[in-house]
Amino acid sequence: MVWLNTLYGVLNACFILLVGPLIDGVERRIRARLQNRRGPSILQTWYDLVKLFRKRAARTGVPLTLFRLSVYTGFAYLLIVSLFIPSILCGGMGFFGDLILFIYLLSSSKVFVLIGGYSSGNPYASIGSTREVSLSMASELVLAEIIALIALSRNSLLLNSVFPVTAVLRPSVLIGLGILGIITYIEHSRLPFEIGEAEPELAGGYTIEYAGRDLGFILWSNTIRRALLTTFLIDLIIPLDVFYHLVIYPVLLFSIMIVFTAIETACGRLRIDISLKHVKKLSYVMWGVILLALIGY
Amino acid sequence: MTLLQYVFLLPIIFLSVSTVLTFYIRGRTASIISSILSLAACLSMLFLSINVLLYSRTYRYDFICWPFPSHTMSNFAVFRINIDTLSAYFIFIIGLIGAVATIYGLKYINKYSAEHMGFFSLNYSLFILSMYMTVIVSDLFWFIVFWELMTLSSQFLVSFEKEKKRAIWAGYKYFTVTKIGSEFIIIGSLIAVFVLNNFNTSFRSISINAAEPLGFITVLLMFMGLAVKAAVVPFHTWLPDAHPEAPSHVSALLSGVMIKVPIYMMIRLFYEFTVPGLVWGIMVSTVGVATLTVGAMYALKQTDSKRLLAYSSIEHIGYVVLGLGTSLLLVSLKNYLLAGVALIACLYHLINHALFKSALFLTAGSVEYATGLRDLNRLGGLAKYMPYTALAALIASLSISGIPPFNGFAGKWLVYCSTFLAGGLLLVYGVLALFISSVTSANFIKYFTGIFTRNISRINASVIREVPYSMSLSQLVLCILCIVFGVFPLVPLSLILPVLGVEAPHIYDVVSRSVSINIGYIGIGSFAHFYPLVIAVILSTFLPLIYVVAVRGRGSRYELWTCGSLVEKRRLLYPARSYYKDFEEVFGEIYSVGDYLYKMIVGIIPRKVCVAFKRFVGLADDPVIMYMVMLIIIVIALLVVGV
Repeated sequence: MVWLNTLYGVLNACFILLVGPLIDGVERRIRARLQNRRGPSILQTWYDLVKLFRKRAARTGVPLTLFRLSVYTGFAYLLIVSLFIPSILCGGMGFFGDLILFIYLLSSSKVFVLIGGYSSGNPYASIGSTREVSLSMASELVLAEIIALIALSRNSLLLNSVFPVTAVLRPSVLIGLGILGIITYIEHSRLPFEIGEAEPELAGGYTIEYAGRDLGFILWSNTIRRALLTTFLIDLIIPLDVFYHLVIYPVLLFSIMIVFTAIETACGRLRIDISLKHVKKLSYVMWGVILLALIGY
Repeated sequence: MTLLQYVFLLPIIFLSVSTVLTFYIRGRTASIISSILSLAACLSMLFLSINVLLYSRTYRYDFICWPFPSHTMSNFAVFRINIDTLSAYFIFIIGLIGAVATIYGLKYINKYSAEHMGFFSLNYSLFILSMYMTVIVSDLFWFIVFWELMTLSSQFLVSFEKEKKRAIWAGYKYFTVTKIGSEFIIIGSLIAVFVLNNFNTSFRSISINAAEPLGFITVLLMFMGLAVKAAVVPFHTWLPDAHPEAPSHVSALLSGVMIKVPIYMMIRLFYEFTVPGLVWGIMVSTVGVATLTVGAMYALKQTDSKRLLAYSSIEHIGYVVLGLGTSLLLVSLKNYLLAGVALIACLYHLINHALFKSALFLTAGSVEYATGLRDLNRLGGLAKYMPYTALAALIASLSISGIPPFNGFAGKWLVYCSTFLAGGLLLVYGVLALFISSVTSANFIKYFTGIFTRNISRINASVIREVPYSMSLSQLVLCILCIVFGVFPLVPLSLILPVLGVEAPHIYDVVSRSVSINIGYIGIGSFAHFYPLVIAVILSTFLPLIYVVAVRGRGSRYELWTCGSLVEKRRLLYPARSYYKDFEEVFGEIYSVGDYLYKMIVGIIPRKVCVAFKRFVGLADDPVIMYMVMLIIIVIALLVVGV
């Protein structure tokens, strides 16, 4: 059983690794079409990555080993996450962790990438990283509330018993899923909340000093993170069943990403304090939802 | 066997000899003698505690100091020592951190002039001795004696740098605040001994009924007294002043060990002396969650390295107290499984915090040793010059932030499991704890990157070099333990479960049935599980692989990109004070509430009390009024005792 699940986990991880840049390619095409441009091929992100992987890395970091190794450590944490949440196959290495571990592994990968950003020594990278940390602190509050809601409605933290949370259809769960959707959008660092990189303002933020292979891995990690967050949202909605995961899951994955892209195209960047205020408001709403769930709805 | 029984005397002998010797010897010799003897004492403590914990032994001794004729008074003449598993657990922490801090201190202390070294060494040995005695005595009277001795000796250590006004002030504040705290313990103990327990001072015979008013007041007084020493909100204000001022290895002992001693007494109080009800569970867990929120949010504002660590100590004591409070609450709700998990979380996080916080204080000390600076705004780029210290700081920072295979996560995970699955009020507390954990990681990103990465600025880089091996190795030993305690939860749990077996047998039964543990795995019934060993294995296979494939390529060297203009490198520094400014502004309510309470507790209320006291002194000239007041006090005292 353990070996079968391990195999499932490895296949899931392969799927996520491959499909992450592909989704990004589709998004770029759609964004272009929405802006009346022709747009690149949907494999363009993969082409970019391959080209970056061929290039030599640049060395600017102050502790050099940390500057380069942190990118790969962050990537390894994402790999672990993709091993253990069910995506295309309904199974995975869920035997080694629960919901809290999922959240922690995701934020750990971000912590490593940001430490790498700091150690580049560039002030733009520092500014981008601090903003990213601030935003993820605030959204961690909402995520914690969502986990509490899930734990309350399923009375367990195991992935197998938590997925899908929609098995108990309560108003609080539905609102909670809606808010999780918004938080997923924010954690994707899409346009109104794309604060850490902020291309026009900070010239790439925490990625500014990276080049070549390292940059390629950062971009790849970002697409994987997006795919994983969306997968988590979908896993909470669809039943843990072979058919649903093999057929419905990819459809939902792509359609959610496309909807997010469409929203993104219509937005401009928010200032960091304003976006923090938005997340804080969301946490207030979520307290209300938890209260609702505690009453029994 | 017969010799083993007397091992507990070894630390006492070593430390007493050291105290007496350093009374006569001065200078560097004193510090070397006291270090060697303290190290021997700490190692014998480790031996003793492991011996007790692994074989679940109990050593009990009653020394009759002087024979008293009457039966009631003879209780006071006995010096009782009882080393059970709970004591042994804390002896383990004292021995471990004490040994590492002592080795570190050997070289570190050379930073200071040799003039007052004798006095320092005397207090250092006395401090370790009094902590050891506090956890082994089994008698309220002697407990208070050693408790006060602990405060006294550590106070001299805090204000060791007599030339600095801040150090004197910090020591004074620390002493007065914790002394007031211990007055509460004394009053509580007096009521417990003289009124409720028929002159019995032995821990074994004390029982307090927390349901009656007088018992409730007694427990409240003792809890408040202990809370002051543990720096629980709202009694935490002394800690951020006191801990940074001490020499760094003493700060490691203060933050890593001393603030855990009150937790030891709290566990005794709530699990042995009394059967607390629901109210106590709610109160203790509320205080815990307030402590962790305030500690972490204020740590976010600090730019002094050791002050940041001190605030973070408050936060982690909050996690420990939250675990204790959760277990009390769930015991009163008869949910023994989760209560056991919460108690394990309390003890687990306690030892984790001792490990990583000592390591962090030692790294802060190394940085101060090498550069003389504690200001995060001015430091930067030290990883190049101090690689071992940087590695230690990185591992300890990752542990304290709760990055999964390290030990910080395991302790926090148990806290979350017990709170999230318990539901109700505890659910809200669990959410806050999880949120604050991300604030912790922000704090330690600031701590680590502020000191070790970025560009070097305003410091003369040519004079900075790595600290001596004794110092860097002692930091790394703690970091290795952080990894071991995280990846193999069986190691700390085999120390914790015997404590549970003795302190709370009914909880232990449930826990041993439903909580499955193996070398790298914890599973709580069918609710939650966590396999850190697998994560560690995956990481340790992936990372070398990726390193070989990707990182090894040399790459070409470039200068920093500065938008094309020529800027001096040292001006490219993002100051630590502006790291999380926006976050602090948006979540500013916590600060305004905290500042208001501080103003009330430190400023307004004492002033009003002073004015009232002056008026009272004016009235006291009139003998008739004084007579009336005396009568009223006597009547109230009689009423209280009568209840």
